[in-house]
Amino acid sequence: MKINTLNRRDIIKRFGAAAGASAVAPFHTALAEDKNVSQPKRVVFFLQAQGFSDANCAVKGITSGKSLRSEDLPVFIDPLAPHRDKLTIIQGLHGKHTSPAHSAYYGCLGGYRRNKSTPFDITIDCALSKVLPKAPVPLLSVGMESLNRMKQVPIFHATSAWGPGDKASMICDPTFLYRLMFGSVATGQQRKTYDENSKMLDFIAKTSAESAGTLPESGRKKLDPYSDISTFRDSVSSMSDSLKTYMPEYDEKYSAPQHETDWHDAMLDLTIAALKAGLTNVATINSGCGEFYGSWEGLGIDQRGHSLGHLSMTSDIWTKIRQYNMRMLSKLVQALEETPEGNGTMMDNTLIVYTSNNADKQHTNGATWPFMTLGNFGGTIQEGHYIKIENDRPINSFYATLLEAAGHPVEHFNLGGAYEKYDTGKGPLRELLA
Amino acid sequence: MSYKNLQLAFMSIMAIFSPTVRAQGQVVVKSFGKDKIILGPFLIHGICALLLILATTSYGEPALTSEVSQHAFIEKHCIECHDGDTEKGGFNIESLQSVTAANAVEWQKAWEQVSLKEMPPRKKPQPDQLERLHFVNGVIAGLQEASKDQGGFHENLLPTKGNYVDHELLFSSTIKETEPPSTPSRMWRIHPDAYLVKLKELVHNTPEFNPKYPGQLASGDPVIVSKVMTDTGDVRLSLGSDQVMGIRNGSGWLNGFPSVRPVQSLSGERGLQDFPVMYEVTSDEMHLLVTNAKAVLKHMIVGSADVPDYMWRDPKNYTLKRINTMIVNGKEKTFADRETTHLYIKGYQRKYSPFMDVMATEELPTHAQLEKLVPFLFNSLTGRNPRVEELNKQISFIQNEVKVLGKVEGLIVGCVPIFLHPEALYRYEFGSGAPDQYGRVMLAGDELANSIAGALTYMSPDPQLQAALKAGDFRSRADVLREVTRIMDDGSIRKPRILRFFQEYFDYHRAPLVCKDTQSLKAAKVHDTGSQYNLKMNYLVSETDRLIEYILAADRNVLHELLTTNDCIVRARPTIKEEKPFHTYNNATSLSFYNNTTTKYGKRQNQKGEIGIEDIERPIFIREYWASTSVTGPSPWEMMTFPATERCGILTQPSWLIAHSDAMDNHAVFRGRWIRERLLGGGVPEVPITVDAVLPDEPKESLRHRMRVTRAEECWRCHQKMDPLGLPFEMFNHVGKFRKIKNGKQVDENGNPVDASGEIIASGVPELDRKVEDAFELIHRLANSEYVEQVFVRHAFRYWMGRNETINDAPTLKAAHKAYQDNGGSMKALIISLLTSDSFLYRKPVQN
Repeated sequence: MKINTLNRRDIIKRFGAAAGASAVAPFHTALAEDKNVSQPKRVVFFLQAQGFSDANCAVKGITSGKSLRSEDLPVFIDPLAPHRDKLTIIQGLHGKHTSPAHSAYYGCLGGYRRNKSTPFDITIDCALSKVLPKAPVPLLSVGMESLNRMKQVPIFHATSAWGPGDKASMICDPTFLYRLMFGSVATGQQRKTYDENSKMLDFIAKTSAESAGTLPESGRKKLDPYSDISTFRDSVSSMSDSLKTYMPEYDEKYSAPQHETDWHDAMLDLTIAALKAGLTNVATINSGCGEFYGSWEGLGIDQRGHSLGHLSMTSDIWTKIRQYNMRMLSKLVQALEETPEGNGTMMDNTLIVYTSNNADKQHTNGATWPFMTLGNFGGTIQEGHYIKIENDRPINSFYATLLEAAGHPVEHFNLGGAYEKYDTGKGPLRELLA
Repeated sequence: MSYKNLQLAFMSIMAIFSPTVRAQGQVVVKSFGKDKIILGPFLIHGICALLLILATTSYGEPALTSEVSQHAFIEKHCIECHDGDTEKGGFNIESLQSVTAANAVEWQKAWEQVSLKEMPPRKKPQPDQLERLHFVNGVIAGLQEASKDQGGFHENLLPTKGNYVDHELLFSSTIKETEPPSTPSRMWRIHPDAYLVKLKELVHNTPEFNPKYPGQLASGDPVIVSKVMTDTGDVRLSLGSDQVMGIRNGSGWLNGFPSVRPVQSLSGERGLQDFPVMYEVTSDEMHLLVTNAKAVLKHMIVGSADVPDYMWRDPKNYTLKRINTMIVNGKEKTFADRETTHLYIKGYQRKYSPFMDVMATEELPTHAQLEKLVPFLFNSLTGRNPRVEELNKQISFIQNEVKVLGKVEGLIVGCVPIFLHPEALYRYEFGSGAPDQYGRVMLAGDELANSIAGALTYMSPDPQLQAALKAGDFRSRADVLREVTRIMDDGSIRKPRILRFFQEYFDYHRAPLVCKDTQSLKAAKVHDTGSQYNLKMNYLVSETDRLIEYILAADRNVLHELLTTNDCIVRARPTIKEEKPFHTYNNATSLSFYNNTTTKYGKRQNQKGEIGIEDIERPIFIREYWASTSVTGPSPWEMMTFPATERCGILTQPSWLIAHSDAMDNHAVFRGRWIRERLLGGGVPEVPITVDAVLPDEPKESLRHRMRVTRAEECWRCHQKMDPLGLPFEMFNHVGKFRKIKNGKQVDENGNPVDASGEIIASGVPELDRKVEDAFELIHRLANSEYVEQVFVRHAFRYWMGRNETINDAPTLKAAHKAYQDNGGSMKALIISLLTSDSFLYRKPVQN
């Protein structure tokens, strides 16, 4: 959605980089961290490629608002059973305006029309990053695919954006991510590579300084950004104690993976480590890299790629894949529960959001788009219930609810101008707020 | 200067002539006891002008210490309606006094209104051009001063404000206050297209120039937008894709290659995109540049080492069965990932680079090898050779890294800094030598060579240019003329910068960016959706590209041809036969956008006028000029001549019409604004923030009817400059089809009769202002105007200079226009004139 087509007044009301400079300021004041109180602090989005249907999370006979405590979860999400009191299943949202057919790409977390190459506006993970307590890495986005693909395309862009046209990087090679995050405290080859890359950045900065010395002031100013080239490295390495504590072991899972699932597990471990170390407060895990392919040979599944999406979401193959996802979520919950924070645990202040970037299935029109959440986000979001959203609300309303929970209510999220008609309701989803 | 002091100063100057100030601000001169009202205003004006001449500094830069003249201008032209009592339009200039950060917004409005000649209102006495210019420059100076600590004021330097300088001052009058032209010293950030081409030339075996097919894609041409399955033109360099012979499953094949995308941002606004003042490389971008550099280096050093054997096309052992599966060694294997379903030619050859010599043995790179490797990379990326100290430092660094990290990793890490060298990311333009009496220095050496190469190409200076530079034969204007002419005449030196100008000038390449509502597409009889629709949009853009290239190849009356030709070049598969109805081409071509007389499955209806290939020789020229421009196979272009009552130049190309439309309908305001700015050299103030610029939701009504709301008094002042220029294009629907004729009259999709009348209002050229019957009459009037030609020259100036013109540039503009005209409307002559002008060749240090 281009800013030009928006009603000017909408621009002020909207959240995001596209809003006028003066309007942005109040929204970007990050929540002050209060260690003694449970508050929204971090969020993890887990996007599964190809689809997540209503059938995958259907609980027999349940009505909206009922607790999940004594319910049987469907087989597809069975591994979440131990966490039923933290789980919320949300049905009834739509994403018709995103035209998900073959993945909504940025439209999934953005709540606007699918576009593979140009995000129209900020996505909800980036938006939350701006209002949750700050961390050195504002967003950690990781991708999981076939081994070949992860090696060949270590950095991808598909589902997260900081603003119109401003794509956020998705890291798909865990060996690269390991070095990025833990290089400064690693040992062996990883440490060596990290150090030499550091020297490389220094050499670049030095070359620029030498050139700048020959230029008049107007030229020198242009080259100022070179001196910031090591800011990320410096801010990460300033957390070396925390990093050392949570650094995973660099074993064969990284260096000699048997199957792509080894690297998927590695990605999850790195994401957990980043959250525990406080390196980031917002993570987006893209199983399938936000597209409509994917590979899970390690689960004994021979089929791969696009054709996987032509199988039913309730098929055996998809049951296997889905349960694998759920085991990942379970691992994530456990890791956060075992880490103390404030007067409780990290999980108390976290929200995990699970959905698919392809709505309910491939070739869908996006009319049904189920979500699951785990955790109560610092006591702001309902947990342990089934919620059916009435009145045909779009996924944007769910995202607006998350912003409200994070302490930054908005009139709407990316629903300005021509998108207004996709929401028959107003405001956040009250049923979801605690 | 405080307001009180200003008043005193003003009054004391007035005292020289002992005038008395009458009501209405008239000044009466008492001369020999008699009142002479007439003289009064002239005297004031004369005094102000005198003071201004004394106060003005160099090349039309905002005059310093001219607050007296500002005050006089305000007294004479503004205060009557905009004082504290009257406050017409809610604007009180009396309260503003000097420019501060707090009132900068109001002053900007004043700058806008006066520059665009909106104020004083047309019916009131007008300041003469110089008076207006000086007032405006004074306001700019004030805005710059006031925002000095908040990032400065640069609005006037943006491409959208180029028309703010009065046309007559540039082309007609001779102004004594100017000095010889020059451009401020600067650094020009590399264009994202140029960045990708530099990387591409390192790794891809792009075909060499073939003089038999001069239009064919060759080394130096831009990385083409992926036309398949992309929404808005995803440009990326897919490393290794130059060697792919076949693919299975077109849908995601590009994702299988390691790829690099352009890093640098562009404004994305309409019009000219790339002024150096607008951009710098940020530290975030640098990290992406490092990542890209590593990917490219890895490909140069080890190629696609991860590529499994079965990807080589070897019919004996590997048979393609059907989509997604292959028989490999007798067993059926499913391929999910796109990269494993690429088929490379046997004996895959990566493009040669000195890395291959280094990798030919197991040995670590020798000093001699690095002495060849580093300059190769350095020159490719920065456009010059490294100096001795630079070379030695870089070689040392690589050797150290190789020692620690091993050969491959060490070479990668060691060579990345070359990709991030400041001169790989910016073109330096500071000039050298002793400044002349105006403080100007001429571009010289590598800077000059890179400026010339960068003006036309995306590559480093070509070997002949480098040789001339080395031999000391590239110094004078005559040298530049010789080299530029040679480059313009040499087809093997690809010049994508020229086509890019026309894209940014016409904006037709924005067609794929317009999101279309599915229902509205259906109503317009377009049945392509999703990726098929995107594909057609990319076809339409490339068809306009080809049409422009065709007209440039002839290089005669270029602007007139561009605006009035009723030829179109279409991408047609199979070859068009007259008797074959358009609808049968729907899936293969974009032809259905050119003609509205068929539906997808219906029969071709009768229509007045012939459509077909008239000139036997031209289609052959077209086919031979371009041959194959598609990566995956030949696609012939065909030229079609449409009735002159249906198509008339670029403004009736579907790509242009769609680029200036919205989700559901035409956008007469965008179209009108385009004409106002790019042909009439005018401008329209920004939409006030309080305005709810939305048309009534009446889907069955014509656009013209719905646009009645712009006739409200507060809207029409600006909209009269746009709407009557845009509404004539109602002859076409929002996807560029010529609207159906029913009972001798055109109707829109709702059956409303089409009213294509319009008007040229306040063009600045009295002979141009008149009502027009339809778009064709409008276009022809404009195309025949010398004034419009001059406006075109102004835009070309801005593109090639990378900045807006000032009154000092008048001689350059006049000379360029003359060169264009004297050579029969030649774009080549125009460009050569611009690139050999003082404006282009001279630099002047920036005052801080």
